[in-house]
Amino acid sequence: MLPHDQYQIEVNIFLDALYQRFGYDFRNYARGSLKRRLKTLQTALDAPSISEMIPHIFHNDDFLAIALSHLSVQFSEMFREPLFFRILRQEIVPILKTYPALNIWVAGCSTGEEVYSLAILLHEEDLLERCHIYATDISHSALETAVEGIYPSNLIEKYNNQYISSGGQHNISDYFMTRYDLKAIIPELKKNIIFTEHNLAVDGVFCEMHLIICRNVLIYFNKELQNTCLQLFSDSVIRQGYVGLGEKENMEFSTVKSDFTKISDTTPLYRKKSHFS
Amino acid sequence: MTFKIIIIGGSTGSVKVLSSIVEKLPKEIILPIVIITHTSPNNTSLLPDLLQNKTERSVLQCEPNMPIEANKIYIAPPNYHLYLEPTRYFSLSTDPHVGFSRPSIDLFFESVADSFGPETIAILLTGANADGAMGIEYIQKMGGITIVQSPDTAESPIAPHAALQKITPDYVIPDTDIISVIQDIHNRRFINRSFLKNDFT
Repeated sequence: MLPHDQYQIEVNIFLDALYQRFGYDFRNYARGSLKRRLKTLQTALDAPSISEMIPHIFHNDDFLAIALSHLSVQFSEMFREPLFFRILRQEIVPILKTYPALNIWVAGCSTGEEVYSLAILLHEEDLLERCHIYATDISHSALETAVEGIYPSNLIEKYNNQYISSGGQHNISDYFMTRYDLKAIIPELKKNIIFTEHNLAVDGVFCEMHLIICRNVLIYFNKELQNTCLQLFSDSVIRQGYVGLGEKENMEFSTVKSDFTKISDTTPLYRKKSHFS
Repeated sequence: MTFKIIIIGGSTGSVKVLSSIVEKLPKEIILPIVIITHTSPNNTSLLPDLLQNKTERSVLQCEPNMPIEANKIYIAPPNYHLYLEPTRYFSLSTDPHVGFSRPSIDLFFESVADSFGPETIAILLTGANADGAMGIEYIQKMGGITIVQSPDTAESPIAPHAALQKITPDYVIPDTDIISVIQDIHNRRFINRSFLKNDFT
């Protein structure tokens, strides 16, 4: 047995214990990128090995919060991959305008940048008022940050450039209030957003959606879990509704591929078919 | 010992070397090849087309869940970290830069060493930072073959030098010798090193 096979066994046992104790399922995260995050968790717990973290699961009251902050992926930007938002504006917004009310799910919303970007776009298109936006994430602390909607001022210029690339006609600063060296999202943009915990690995459908956005989340999962999530999205989205993924993500290797039509060559936007053949 | 994969990492100055390797690689070598570079994002996105012009093998940019297959050449996409999963398909991440680099050669080489261990042939080329040095050290630790481009033939010797600070590679060679060394390793198919005397059942 190669050393790495032993390591994977250790990881399997650790993640299994974590799942059994707390119900958070990291067992099907992609092991390549997970390895590094497990290492930082080990350092945080001062544990010399993966298996030596197992006692913490059962005897350290702080374990869960620490584990979630290290194992879940929390890097996000406003208007990341501006082309996605541009195509959303051009191709999908006109269709969304035909509905009197809209349910939108931003899955894996992390610290909120993605969902506020969407809110800005919907506001500019006069759609925000009729939207219920559900922004979900596995991490309670990320959601707390997202609810606040406060970000460092030094990022705003980058965000503004991405906002403009996505088709924005104003300045992204218009949507923020300044507090010292921080920027806070204006309250009007928050009104139609509900932030709530949801675990893509274990939780199910909670509402019928017109649009589901889940970007640069699935790449952190293994193929099986990605497929489970795409199945969940297929079950949650209405016929003719939309699913938007991250730039490098796709449905190619998934069992629900034939439920959808890809509506853009340049960005992963899919529409659920109205009939099944 | 049979080999299952060739991985090549580099940055500044590596495009010429890669072009030559891809062009001259003998037909009978059907190992998958994965190329990971971090020149500026725009340059690396031209690399698949540039290399496809040099070979009849398929040249593909890595995508998540893409399996690794014989006789194909894979290229890490710019601005993502690339991993090879234990189940032998690619995964990506948008985690922050590591060693000022994304993709990180270190992270990728490490994931390949974890998956393929002694069945790996790893090559580190010219590059403007130390990215790849820790990766190739880990490859050696896991029993893979390590090849470093000689600093005096490297457009930027920083990466080769950094690697040589950490390990004595199996080969330190000019870029022009890389093809013949690969051929030699491939034909011999077995390297008698003390590492292989460990029992890995």
